[in-house]
Amino acid sequence: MLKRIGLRAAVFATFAVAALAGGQAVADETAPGLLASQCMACHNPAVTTNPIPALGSYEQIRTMMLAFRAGTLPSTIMGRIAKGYTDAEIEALAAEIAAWKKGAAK
Amino acid sequence: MIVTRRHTLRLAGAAALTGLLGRPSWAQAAAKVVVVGAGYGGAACARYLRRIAPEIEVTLVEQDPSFVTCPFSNTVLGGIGDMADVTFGFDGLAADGVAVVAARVEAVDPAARHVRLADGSTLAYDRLVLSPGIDLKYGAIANYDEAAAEIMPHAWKAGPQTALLRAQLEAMEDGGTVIIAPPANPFRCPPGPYERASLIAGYLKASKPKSKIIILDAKDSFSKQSLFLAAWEELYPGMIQWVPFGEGGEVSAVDPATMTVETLFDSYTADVINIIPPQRANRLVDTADLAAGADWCEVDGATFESRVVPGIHLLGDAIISGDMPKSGFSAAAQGRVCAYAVAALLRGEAPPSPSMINTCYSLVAADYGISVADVYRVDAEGAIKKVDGAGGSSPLDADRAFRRNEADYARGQYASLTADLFG
Repeated sequence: MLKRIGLRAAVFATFAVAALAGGQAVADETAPGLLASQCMACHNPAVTTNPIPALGSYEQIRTMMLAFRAGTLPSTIMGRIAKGYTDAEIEALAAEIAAWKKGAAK
Repeated sequence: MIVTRRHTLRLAGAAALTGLLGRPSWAQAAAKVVVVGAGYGGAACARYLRRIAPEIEVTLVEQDPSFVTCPFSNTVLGGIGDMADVTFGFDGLAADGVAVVAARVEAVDPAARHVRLADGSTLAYDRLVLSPGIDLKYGAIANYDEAAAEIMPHAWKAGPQTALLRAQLEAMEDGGTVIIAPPANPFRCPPGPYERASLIAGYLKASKPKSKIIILDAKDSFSKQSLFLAAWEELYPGMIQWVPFGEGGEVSAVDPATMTVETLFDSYTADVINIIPPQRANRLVDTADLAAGADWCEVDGATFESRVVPGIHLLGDAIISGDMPKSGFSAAAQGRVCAYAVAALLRGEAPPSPSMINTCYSLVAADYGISVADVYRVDAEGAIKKVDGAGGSSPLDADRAFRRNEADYARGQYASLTADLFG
């Protein structure tokens, strides 16, 4: 748990770097919420009949994303997508989605 | 400029402080964001802004009472979906606190920082988000104008045009010919014309098996081409003829009276003709010269802010989006990123670095789906780039179970995304 919070904090802490991206200064890291928002297009928990699996716990999301990326877990599309993310990003989006789920369950 | 880690942390602290000071207090008026267009881009941006920045007032202006999605409108043409399945209202957005205004925006006035509505009233903004979609370039194909589109539908803006093309297909006799004429790149939904040919072929195979489809194409290759061609061979052998640009496929003129189209080498007569003309950004962008005389608008991919007019953000099919295709899914991905950027900018913070996904499923049949997916980042110049080593299309050698899964996931994705935006 401590490790998770540490990782999220690390991603947050590097937000505000003034990298020059075509005029607008943007952070050098993405926000966990923004990363995770991209997953919701297909894995929307509000659609109960969705044949696309709902996202699980932090540990499930993290383990499966790493396995999709490594090619050890077969998939139709997730292998192609998981290859686009670093370890830190996978940890950050897994933590974010797990936190959303906890918030929604309250 | 070289930023060291030490600088990074100091800058982070400074930005956090600015953020606190820059946030409007209760004594100040709330920041106002006006979003124009309740399609994929506009709905995503408006809804995510409300979720992540409840202190911001969000107004969404849309001229139509509901949104008919182009994605899945090909299922209506193929007779495996209804118009009601692809039509969405805006009650979900309103319930999230988005002020939905049913009006047509006539002009954008960046100097006054407002948009003018058809009734002459204005809506003031601190930041403006335009997700206006496309206009069809009538006249680019000789004699193809709005009147011709009532006889040879484009059906590239879903709605009455979709219903018209479906009615023509239903009225066609067995043994008839259907022409589909896609434009050159760039255009809305690159795999769309080929999904359309597939699902129409499925309908014809079941109901009018002596009929055929000719695709008169203004280009020599298309999205997911090898997957489509292999699937047509397997599911609809001999039914779909593709004529590429190099073999004279490009349509240069039409004659609606005789149901004829002209290409470089030939003329073709058909029973149903679907002309998908060249496109450009919706002309609303011209009222503030946002396309700077070109067909599409340039934006900074990190924030989707216009390269021409500061304070105005643009999304979706109307922009030059680098490696991202003009798809509804892309527009929604951009809308979420834009929401984070606009919220940060209004709070005086640095916008987070973007990360986006696009996934385009196409149905070749109700139980046969194919996909292309990519992950995107933005480079130092603000250009949207694919992440190397990730993404790509469905494998060519996959079995039917894999295709069936992807057809199910296509429907799941559509339900999921439309619920995220409109549910």
